[in-house]
Amino acid sequence: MSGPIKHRITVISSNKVDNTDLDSLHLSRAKWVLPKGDYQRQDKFSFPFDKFASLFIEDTTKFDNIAEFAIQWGVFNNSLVAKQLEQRNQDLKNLNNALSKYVEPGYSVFAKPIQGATGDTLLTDLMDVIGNINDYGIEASQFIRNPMSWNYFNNDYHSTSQLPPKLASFLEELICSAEISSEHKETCKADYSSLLKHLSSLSLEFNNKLSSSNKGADDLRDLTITLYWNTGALQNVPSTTIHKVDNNERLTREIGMFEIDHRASTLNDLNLFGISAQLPSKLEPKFNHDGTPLFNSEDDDTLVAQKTMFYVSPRHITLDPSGGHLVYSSKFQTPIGLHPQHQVTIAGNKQDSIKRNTTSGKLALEPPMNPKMFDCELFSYYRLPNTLFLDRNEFTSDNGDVELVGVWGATDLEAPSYKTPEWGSDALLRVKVQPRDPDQFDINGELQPLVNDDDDDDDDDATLYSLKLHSRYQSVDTTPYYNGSIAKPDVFWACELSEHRLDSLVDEGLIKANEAENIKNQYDNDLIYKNPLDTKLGVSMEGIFTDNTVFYHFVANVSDISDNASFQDNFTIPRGKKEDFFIIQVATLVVVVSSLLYLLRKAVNGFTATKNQKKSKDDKKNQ
Amino acid sequence: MTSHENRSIKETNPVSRKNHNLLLIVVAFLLRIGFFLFGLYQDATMEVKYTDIDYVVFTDAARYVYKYNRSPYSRETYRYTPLLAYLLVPTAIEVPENEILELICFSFGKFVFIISDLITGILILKLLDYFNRDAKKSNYKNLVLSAIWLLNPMVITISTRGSSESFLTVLLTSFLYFLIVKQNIIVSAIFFAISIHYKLYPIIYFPTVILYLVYKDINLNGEKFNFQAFIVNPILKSISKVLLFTITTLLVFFALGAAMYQTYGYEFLYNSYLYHFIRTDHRHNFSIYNMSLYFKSSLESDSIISIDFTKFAFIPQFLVSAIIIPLLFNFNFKFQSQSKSINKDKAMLLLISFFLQTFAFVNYNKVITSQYFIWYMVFLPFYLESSTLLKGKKLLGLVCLMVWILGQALWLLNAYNLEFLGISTFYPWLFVSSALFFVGNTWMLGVFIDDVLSVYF
Repeated sequence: MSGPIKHRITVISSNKVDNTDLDSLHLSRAKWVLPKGDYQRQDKFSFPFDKFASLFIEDTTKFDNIAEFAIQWGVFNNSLVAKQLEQRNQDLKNLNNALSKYVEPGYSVFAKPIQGATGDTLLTDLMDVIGNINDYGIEASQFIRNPMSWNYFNNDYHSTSQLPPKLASFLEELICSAEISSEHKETCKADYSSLLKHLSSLSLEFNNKLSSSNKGADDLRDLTITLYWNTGALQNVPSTTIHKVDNNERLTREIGMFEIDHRASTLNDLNLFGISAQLPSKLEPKFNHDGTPLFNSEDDDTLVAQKTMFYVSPRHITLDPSGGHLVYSSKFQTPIGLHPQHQVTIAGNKQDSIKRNTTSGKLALEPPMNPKMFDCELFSYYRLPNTLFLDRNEFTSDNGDVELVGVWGATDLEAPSYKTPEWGSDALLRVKVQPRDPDQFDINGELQPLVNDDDDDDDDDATLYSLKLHSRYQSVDTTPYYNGSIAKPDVFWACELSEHRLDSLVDEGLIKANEAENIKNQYDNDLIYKNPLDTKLGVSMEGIFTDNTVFYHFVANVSDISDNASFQDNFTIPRGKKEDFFIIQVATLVVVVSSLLYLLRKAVNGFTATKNQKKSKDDKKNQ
Repeated sequence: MTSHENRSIKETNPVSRKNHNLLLIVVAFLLRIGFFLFGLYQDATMEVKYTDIDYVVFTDAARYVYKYNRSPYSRETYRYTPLLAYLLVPTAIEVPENEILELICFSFGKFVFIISDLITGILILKLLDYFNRDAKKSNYKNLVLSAIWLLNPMVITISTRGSSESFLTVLLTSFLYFLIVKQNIIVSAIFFAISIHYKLYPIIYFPTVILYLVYKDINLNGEKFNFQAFIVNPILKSISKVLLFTITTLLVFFALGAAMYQTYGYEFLYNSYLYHFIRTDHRHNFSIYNMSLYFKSSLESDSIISIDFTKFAFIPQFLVSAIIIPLLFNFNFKFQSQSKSINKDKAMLLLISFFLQTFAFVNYNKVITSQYFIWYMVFLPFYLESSTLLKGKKLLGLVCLMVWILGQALWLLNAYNLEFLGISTFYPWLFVSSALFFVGNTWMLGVFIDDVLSVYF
């Protein structure tokens, strides 16, 4: 037995004082109409197996070997959002932490086989399953394997900034497959066609829960699609109409519209307040005290909405530069050569001097969570195209600013790009910063001024690290240089509540045992991994961390937000020119054959000529 | 140095000769220690490290063996015999409580290479002395000639950076020392087999050694060719030595190979031997074939590409290094002895052949790096011992040296521009540099051949 398709729309309006974006919002029993405007929106769909599988492929047994797969596509990052908001003089507070899933800018496919299935089987079946939406013509050989999954990635989204066309058509078809009336279906397709053109990120996740312990139970395979539109993305999109649902066994719909109450929010807990509604409606119509409907309606139907307030604890938090957090810059050091050095520096507000510990030489950075209670480590995550790679053998020493957690994929140290089928490699690095002594913080996590701070020097050169990469030889082509780029690394803190530290605080009498217990419960039972707006994707980079890890992402400092390319770091690698091949071949052949003839002549001469003959020859020469 | 001092060195007795040799070795040793210490300083303070990347590979492989009980081939790019990783196991010993001791342990491999390099020098000296022992000449010339190895900054740099070439040279010189000076065929063959096990290329010396063993006591110059006298009799006369050498070599080589294969299987065969046949090293190096290999491997699927002659590059290489040169100098009946001892002259010709063979082998190789120059440099003193380039044709000798140095300098300049400045110098600059270096080396090889012919034939 399968349940209904679930569709949930969540909207968070911006915090402008004169916000009128949602004034023309229309909510009735018959339909919802979302106007264009400056707000963030997330559409989340859940499909039971029988409602989606055959749309992918006729032979649905092809799903049998797949435990999970996900396709993610993102065209924005928080650096862009931060810059946009800054330019528009808007409040940066909390950016889009509440709604956006963790999606790397670019196009990713992740997959994991069921227990007992091989990688080859998985990828063969996966290629069949996603065959109709394979815009990039991905082949199984391009996938790489890391501890979480098999994956494919490319960051070549800059040319169009739009969802790849086959994938977009498929999503329209799938999303609107729930509509029964052909009229609604057409409206749905038209609306989503337009919406998908402005999409900021997508996460399509197939999960085969049968693969674990539920064999024999109902078909628990499902597909979740999360669409996300960033602030500003929907400003120029016509309004969207969501029609009523006639059959709640086939489809249920839910909508929530919220603002963030910043007075009651912290970096880690966002207080959302607003209204929510369902289709089919479970609520009686509501009216204002003067008898008018709660919201304006042009329809005869009555409105159905209820006031809602809740807290969410985002798993991924962007460190807002306007809130005093540091930003990072990255670039390749010049001249680039064949071993590009990728340099990441950090910078902050002028009043925030960046300290470097004189003993360890490491930057002293303050973690985002109270170090008396949380373990925080700084990481940098790279997704390198196969043009570049890093050599894991160069990380064996304890020296250096980074420690390699892992590198997976195309890690052959000698193969040229044209003999490397894999798309590239994933690398997770732990950045060694000088941890502040927890004793320097008070119980609230505030840094205490030190009487003697001699160990730390103000530092103008805030280089976080410099990473030596290596380039693969490029295929010869018509021009002598290959221009490539890498997505800027994701630089983030990963923090986790430390029970050990909490216990120490109790032992030291700084907090009471029940307070510690409350903190633990609040953290464990709270919303971090139960956040309905952002479920963790175990097959992506998130999967390497524990379920209750909170990620604090630094914003990249970019020069030109109008150019998508500025969100990547560019490099140039020399390569041979195709047109030179012929002359190289001929010249090599001529030189080698001539040399051989020259030496053969010497040898023949050595066997035949007598010493006297040679002597007389030499004498003649001398004359 | 005054003429009086000069004469006094030339007229040294055996005791003072030994003292001079010792002095040279001590200076050579101190120089190596100096270079080694500078390397430690550079590694600790400078971005560009002194220690060779190959040393990191060896020591990583040793760590896999010692610490993780795994195959040395777990380390990517380890393409050597596992014996090298075993030899360097002390480098994997960790002494966290004592940094200096740990550094000494880590440097153990460098000590091995430095000692190998010194022993190579000592054996060169001993071989040179062997040729001059009967002559009432001083060892001044031998000191100078062996200093070409012992005091050569290129040689010292290579071993102190942790490159393993000196381990090969000590095997090869030991093989020659036992073959020529000690005339111990079995021990000589054991060293020869180990050197082939260690690096395959010394196999090119095999025909030369066989010809040497067959004809070392025979001078047929002036006699009319007679199959019985020229071919059959010498073979019959030397057959026991030839077989002893061949069988011992084969036994040791296959025993070592079998032991390694038993332990590491195909991984050993592939990385130690097969890889060297199938590799198409597209990364820039001195070889004339390099650019063709890069372009060809990149355009493999391109239909316009004609015949891939780089697949046949081994033909001129083996023709010159393993056939023409051994025959020309060891099967050439125009040989004229330069001393009372035919045997010694033939032995010297063997060493000279090795020099010319290696020089040709490297020149025609599909991959050439600076370390490969060490392969022939170890035999250079023997070639120069009787060369006219140090006597009547000094100018020609100087021109040869300049051609060799300038050829490398030009190539290195263009390689630097490519590797570190990112300038696309593939064509014409790097290719022309490689071609000029190849042409220069070929011309030098011709000069050397003429030179040897003029002295011995």
